[in-house]
Amino acid sequence: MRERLFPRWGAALFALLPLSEILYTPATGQTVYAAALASLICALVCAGGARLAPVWQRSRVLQWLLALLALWPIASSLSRMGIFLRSTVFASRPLWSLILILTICSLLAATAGLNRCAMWALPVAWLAGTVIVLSGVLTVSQLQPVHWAMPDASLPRETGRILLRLLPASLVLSLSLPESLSGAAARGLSAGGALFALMSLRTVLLLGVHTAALLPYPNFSAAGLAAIGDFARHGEVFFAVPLLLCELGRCAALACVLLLPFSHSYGVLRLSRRANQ
Amino acid sequence: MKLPGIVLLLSLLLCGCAREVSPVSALALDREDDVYRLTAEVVRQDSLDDAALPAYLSATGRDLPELLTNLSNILPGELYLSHAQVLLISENVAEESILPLADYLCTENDVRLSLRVAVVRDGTATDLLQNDDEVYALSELLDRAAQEGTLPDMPLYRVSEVLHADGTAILPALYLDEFGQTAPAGTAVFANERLSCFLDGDEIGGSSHA
Amino acid sequence: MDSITFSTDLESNIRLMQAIFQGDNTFVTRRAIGHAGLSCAVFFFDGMVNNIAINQSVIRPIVCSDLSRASAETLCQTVLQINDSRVETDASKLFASFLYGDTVVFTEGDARPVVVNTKGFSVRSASEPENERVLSGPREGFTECFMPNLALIRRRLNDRRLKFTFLRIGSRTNTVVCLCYLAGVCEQKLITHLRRKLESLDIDSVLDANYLAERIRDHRFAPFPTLGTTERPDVVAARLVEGRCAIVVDGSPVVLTAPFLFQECFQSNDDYYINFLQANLSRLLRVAGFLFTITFPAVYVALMLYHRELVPARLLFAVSAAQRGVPLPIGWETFLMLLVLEALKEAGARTPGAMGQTMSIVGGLVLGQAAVSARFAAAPTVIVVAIAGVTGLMVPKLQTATLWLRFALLAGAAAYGLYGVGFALALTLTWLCRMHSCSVPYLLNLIPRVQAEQEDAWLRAPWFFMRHDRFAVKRNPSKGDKP
Repeated sequence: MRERLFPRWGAALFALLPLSEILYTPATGQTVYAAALASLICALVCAGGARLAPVWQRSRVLQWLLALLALWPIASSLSRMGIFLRSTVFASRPLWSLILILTICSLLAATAGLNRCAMWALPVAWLAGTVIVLSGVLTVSQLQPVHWAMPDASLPRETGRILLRLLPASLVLSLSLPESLSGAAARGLSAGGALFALMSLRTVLLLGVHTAALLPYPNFSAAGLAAIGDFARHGEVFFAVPLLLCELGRCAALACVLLLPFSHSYGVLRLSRRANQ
Repeated sequence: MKLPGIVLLLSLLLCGCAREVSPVSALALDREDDVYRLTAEVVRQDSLDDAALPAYLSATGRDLPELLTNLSNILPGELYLSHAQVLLISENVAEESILPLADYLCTENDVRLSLRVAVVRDGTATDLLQNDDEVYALSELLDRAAQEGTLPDMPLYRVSEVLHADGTAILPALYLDEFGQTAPAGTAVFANERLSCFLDGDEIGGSSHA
Repeated sequence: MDSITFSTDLESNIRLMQAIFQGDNTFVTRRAIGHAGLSCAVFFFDGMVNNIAINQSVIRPIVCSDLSRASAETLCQTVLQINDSRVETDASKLFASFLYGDTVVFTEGDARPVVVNTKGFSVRSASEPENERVLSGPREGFTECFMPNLALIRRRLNDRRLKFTFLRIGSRTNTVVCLCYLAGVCEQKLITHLRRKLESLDIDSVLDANYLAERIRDHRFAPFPTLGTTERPDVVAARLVEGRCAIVVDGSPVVLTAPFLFQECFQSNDDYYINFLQANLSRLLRVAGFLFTITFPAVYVALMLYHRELVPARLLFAVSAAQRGVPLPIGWETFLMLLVLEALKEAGARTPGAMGQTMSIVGGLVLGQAAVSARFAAAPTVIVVAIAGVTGLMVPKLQTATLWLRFALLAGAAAYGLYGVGFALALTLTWLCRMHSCSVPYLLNLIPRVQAEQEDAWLRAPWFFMRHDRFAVKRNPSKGDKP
């Protein structure tokens, strides 16, 4: 029996994409607007891409092209996750070992297929969303609205930077969807983008642009100021774990696309191919 | 059996071993001629029944990275700054630009961004740090004063931000009163990243213990 | 046995039966001759039959009979005074019934034996199962006796659609296995799927339901259960109403139900017999308890190895003080303490009654205290392991999963801190997403969130909101379901 990729799962899968950008994006006064704008652009592009997906999947050449395109976001995700882990916790571990373990985890998740990755994405997106909101709420009292900045001339450049990282992965995934999930893709990216913008806003209002500029991972460091009494002070790892899981999910989903031309057994794409036949 | 095999393999990873740590609860920075002296209040608890007691260790150096390295070398365990909650700086340190100090501490992974910075008035920071036998007494004093509004609430990340923004900042000031007790001493005003003057409680409109 | 053929000569039939069961001292042969010359031979196994029934309904009617000769049909219809007797021509069925406590009667001049239902072996009473006790609600439990078990189910489901389909499995034990379902409620595909699986089994013996469960379940190596087990007839009845199938195995008080979903691991029998507010709180506690028991030792190790900055200062000082002098690194220490906990549990479970309790107390209190005093282990580690052990008892259906996941997560924590714990949990979730039970997604209702079936998934809706068939298991959510 054909398995369905439910719209809600699809939306969760796409929500992981902006969420996984949160850790690495620098916080400037313009990041808030740039994150929202970039996510919105991605949502529009992907809504269109998802409509084209059935056409793309009919062509073997285009499938290969998608697989090759998926390589870049996967490689960049794995490397930035590895670098993040090395610079925050595992300073004495070689980078390659961290990337290796992340690759293994991604591939293990990818063998479940795109459908299962999307199903997996739903609780992970909820977890990440909850942690983000909780982290925001716990720091509300420390926010200083004086750090708020209006959009300026650097906004297009900031938006371009975020788009460069967000768009390839979103486009590849939206073109690989088996069903017409353009609405779900747009909803997911918008929701993830909203949380992304919210976190950037929190960081700027909390740390200020100058302090944020000093830090390699400002959103991560800002999360360390959220605490419940004496517990979880310096608790940015609680914030980082769900976001890394989001990125792991993104890698797994892209790995499904990457493995598609080599195998007939990866989730919905196999089924959609059968359906096309 | 795949699963037990995997789990047993993973069990081999259980070799992670934590080096004994020397947690630092507070730091004091003084200047002696052309070198700095960094004193750390290291917390030691020998058994569950004992109370946590402070021990004081000092190192000298030309800048903060060197001070931390030197301090780390004389400690029995790993210098652990994550639980440090207060940095006291003496007047003569504050009279120089404190921006590099704030920036360095912000970028140091272990140091909490919520670390409170205070200026010690009329005396050395080390003396004031060593005045209390109770661990975290200083941070509790600063927390309480910040909540009550008697001293400015200036954690490290705010200090860095305001100094970067326009070079002016206000930091809480402490001193040893006539009874030898640590007490708030108003506010230290920084201009151009340097200590400019002290304001007493009356002058900033709040009630003062000084 | 199929090659055995009986003759019309009674004496040769007796010799044949005695030859077949030569050496079995429980095998009894009784010649019965009527007033008018009716000559019969009655065979049965001592201890397996109801003696009163044989005496009053089989032997006395033959002895008192006015017939001089009777065919097998006549014997059944006019002589024997018993409710269940038949002429059996299939030798394998004949011996299956005979070995199971029925009586076989041969008459002179007829080669066909008569099988009389005289089963009468001693059975345990339908007492409440020890491991499925409830605060309120029915207290009956299945026993090792097959037919009474089916009767317990039928008594609760007075529905003509309730079907019991018998199969015989095991070339040596020839065990009767019954597939129960509610026709029209249970999907035909599910019935066919299970029936085919059971029929395809080629095994010697079935001495308990688990012999079948491990063979027919999906994901045989997964620590998560994909077949339900229960000893309570009310649970079986509830699952049949929900569209599931039950498999009753003769000689086992455990009944299997399929499909089995992950949500059922957190359901307790009490959930349906007590107030829904209390039931839901208990259910949430069970979910939290499961998460807690698998993650707590791992999080403790991760915090103490990699994320000490997260631990409140005074707690860190205390734990560091307690760790001083302990010979092993904290990861190994926790690992070994968890092994000790499992060893104590095993010893307690295998030790009879009062000694088992003493064992637990000695193990838990004395050994723990001694280990801390002797610096074999740190007090916080003992506390963490003890809490993990206690919370682990909250979800008995997931004990295997709890055991393995605890160690897997611990390994992840020791290697990669909280990130390792997160990755291990994420991979476990991936695994759960891939799993299915009889083609039904294992996480049905929990992640797919089929709207119509939310009444008893994470929480139990109050009875006044619930439909009569709480939810019908669907093999795959259909298009119409809102995801």
